[in-house]
Amino acid sequence: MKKIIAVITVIFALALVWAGDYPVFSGPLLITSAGQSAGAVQLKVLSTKAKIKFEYDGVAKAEKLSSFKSVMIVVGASTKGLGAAGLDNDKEMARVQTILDKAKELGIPVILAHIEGASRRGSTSDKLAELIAPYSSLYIIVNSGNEDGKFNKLAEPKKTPIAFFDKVSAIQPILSEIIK
Amino acid sequence: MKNIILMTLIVIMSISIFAVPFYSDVRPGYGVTEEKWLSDYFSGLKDTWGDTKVYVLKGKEPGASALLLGGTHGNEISGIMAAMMYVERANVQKGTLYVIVRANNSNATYHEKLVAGTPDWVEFETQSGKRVVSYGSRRTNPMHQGNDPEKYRYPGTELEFEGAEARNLNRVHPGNPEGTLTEKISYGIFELIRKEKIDMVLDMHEAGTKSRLAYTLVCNPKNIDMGAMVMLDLEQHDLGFKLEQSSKEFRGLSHKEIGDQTEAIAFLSETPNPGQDYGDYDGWSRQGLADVINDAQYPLSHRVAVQVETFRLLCDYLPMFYEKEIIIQNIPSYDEISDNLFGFYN
Repeated sequence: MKKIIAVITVIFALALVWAGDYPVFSGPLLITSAGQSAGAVQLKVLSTKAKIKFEYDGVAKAEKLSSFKSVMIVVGASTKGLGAAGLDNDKEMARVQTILDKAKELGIPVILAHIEGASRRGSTSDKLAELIAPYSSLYIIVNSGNEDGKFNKLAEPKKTPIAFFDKVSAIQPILSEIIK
Repeated sequence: MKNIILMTLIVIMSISIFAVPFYSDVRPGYGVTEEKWLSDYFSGLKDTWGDTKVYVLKGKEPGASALLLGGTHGNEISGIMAAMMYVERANVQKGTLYVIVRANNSNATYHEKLVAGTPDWVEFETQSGKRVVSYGSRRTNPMHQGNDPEKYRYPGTELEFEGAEARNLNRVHPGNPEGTLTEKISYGIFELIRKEKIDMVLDMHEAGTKSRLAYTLVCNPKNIDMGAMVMLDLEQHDLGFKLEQSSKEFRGLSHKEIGDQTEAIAFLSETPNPGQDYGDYDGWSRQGLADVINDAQYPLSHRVAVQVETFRLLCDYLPMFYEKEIIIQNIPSYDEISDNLFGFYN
């Protein structure tokens, strides 16, 4: 069984083709949050405008992944957002870890997004980013959240490609290019 | 001791006898079709310092109803000036706009000096001559509400604040018809929302220039998608606008309670005001005087332009999300307000 899963994983990994500087991912895409800030909602709105095949579930559980071919995890810790979702830091870290484990098991590529700038670079956000980064095939980053080069450093070990943007709205055109 | 009691009684009686609403220098334009009072919606406010004008701008065509609130906090002046801009300039073609320039009118009579350099009055000149706008306080004038409790506990919860927060309009929503003056003001606003079947509310605020809330649009969770669209459009002005949603636990705030307890969608906007730079922000604190009008980085003209633009975008996106429309004309653009704020008042 393990061998089958490993083979499926390799097939999915090889299936990643590239659009210019960035890999291309298969839809449907699941967009979820890591930290429950509003960044995931912004990516939901941008994905709607980009007309890609996706579903948004800010508090998605790992079991949901089997219906998707790629997953985008939008990092940004918000005390308000976590409270509204009935979560705390530890529960959110655990939820995200189960998604990452499931994605690895199913060979579903992960996209890490951090789009809310410096205001979402607190310790909890950074811990979530560090958790997700090793599993990710692409980072989508708004520059104001990377003034210290944090995401460049996270990308270094696996040479993970990073799509940098000055503005959140500039992400929209790239979504339709990388999610097919 | 007898003298103290006598003096206290005289002060209380004076306030009761002479209690009248504070009258702001607001000069309604052609678009205002009716002037009402908040006490028309809740009679418990009549002849109190909590009563306030409600300006109605009714369009020729029926459509959505929106409520624009300035002056929830009287020292957050960009919202007051933005609300005045709509009263003095706007023409509503479709739908109905309700504007309260001073949501908590009592705080216009109370000038706190939380930051050195903040004025008691904002003075400016238009073609009609000199005008003044009160630079009020965050909370209800303590003379109008009596002694603060030692602690203010939000009703029915364990949420506790310092006692003075009992006079903070944005901590007591949805109010109480039998409660304090501040709670009655809140109740009056909720009655307006219910009776006029308001579809959308924007409550305009300001935060410190280094506060994480500066340049933020706070949304009730039920309307956060629309807020995200507005935030993305605001990006064109390179402000680094942020999106927040109401907390489940933090009760009493307008975006939370209006969104949860009425049919209306509810937003709260924050611009950065140097006059709000009290306290310490990660080791930074304001040195010298705050200039709330002509600050080099955050002048009032810029802050009012942001508030007006935020409301304009909310109105633009309303039909996309809720199939209801309000069309407001004759409001100057972001650049026009940024360049010549005071030129647009009557």
